[in-house]
Amino acid sequence: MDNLENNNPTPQAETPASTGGLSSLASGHSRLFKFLALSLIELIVLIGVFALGINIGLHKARFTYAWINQYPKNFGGPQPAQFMPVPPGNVFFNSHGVSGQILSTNGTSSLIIKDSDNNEKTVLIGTGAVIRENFETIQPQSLKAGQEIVVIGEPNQQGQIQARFVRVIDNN
Amino acid sequence: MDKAISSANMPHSPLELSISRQLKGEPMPEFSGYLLEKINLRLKCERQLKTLKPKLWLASFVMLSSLALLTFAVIFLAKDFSQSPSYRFLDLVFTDFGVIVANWQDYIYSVLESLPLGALALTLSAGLASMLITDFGVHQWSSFRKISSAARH
Repeated sequence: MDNLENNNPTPQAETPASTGGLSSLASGHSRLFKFLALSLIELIVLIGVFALGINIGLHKARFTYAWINQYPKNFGGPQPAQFMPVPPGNVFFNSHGVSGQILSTNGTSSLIIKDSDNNEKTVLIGTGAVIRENFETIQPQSLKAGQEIVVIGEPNQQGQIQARFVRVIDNN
Repeated sequence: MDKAISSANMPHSPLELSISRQLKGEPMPEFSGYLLEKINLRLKCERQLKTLKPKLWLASFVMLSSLALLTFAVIFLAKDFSQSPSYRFLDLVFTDFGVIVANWQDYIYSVLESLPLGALALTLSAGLASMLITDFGVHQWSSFRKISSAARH
């Protein structure tokens, strides 16, 4: 009644939106809401991490089995089923990179590397691959047996790594 | 009898003396009530300290053990990390950042695939355990200090 006489508008209740920001929304909600929201966020993060783990494991397993199946083609010898058992999960190979010593090269297009676990890997050097030693870019022909290198690349279905980048490590 | 009662009611402690100055000219309060309260408070404090001291010893022992475990976990992680190709891949960030950015997907895969996950999980768990135990120990210590100072005053 007083408000009508004085032409003063009734003060409106402050809505969460009017104060602005997520914090004001959160502060206006019950503990149950906050608990549920936090639980959902944690569940999403867990599921994301789990999916990433499965993805990486799949890449490693796929590459390892391709490496085993293509072994005679890549390195020679009898069929893998005759001499290599199914590897345990903790020895699946890294498929997108390798670090180790060059065992042999064929000049321009491929290398065989002994990695840090003493396994042999075939690395293909394509035309787009960048090879660097110290601060210079070098040619594939400059790579020699005995050099330590780090390779970043992509696995193929033949159990080989298609190199995108090779860094020669200078041990001197 | 009156003399005996009045001498028994003479103020002795600093608290009683200050109260007597404040109430000069007025009848003296019952000092026995304050004394009883002080005794009860002191007993309560001593009881709390008695239960707290074993907890404090336990917290100290567990804290030292967790720190030792953390140290071993960090050493184990450092050894595992140096034996895996991870540190060589991570080194490339400082030498060939542009190339890494150009092939970021393959690079991220190569780092994630080569991480020593077991040692990393162990170290992080040991770190979390140490943090929680240290927090417990600090909490017990601050309670001990509060109760000790309350007992003294």
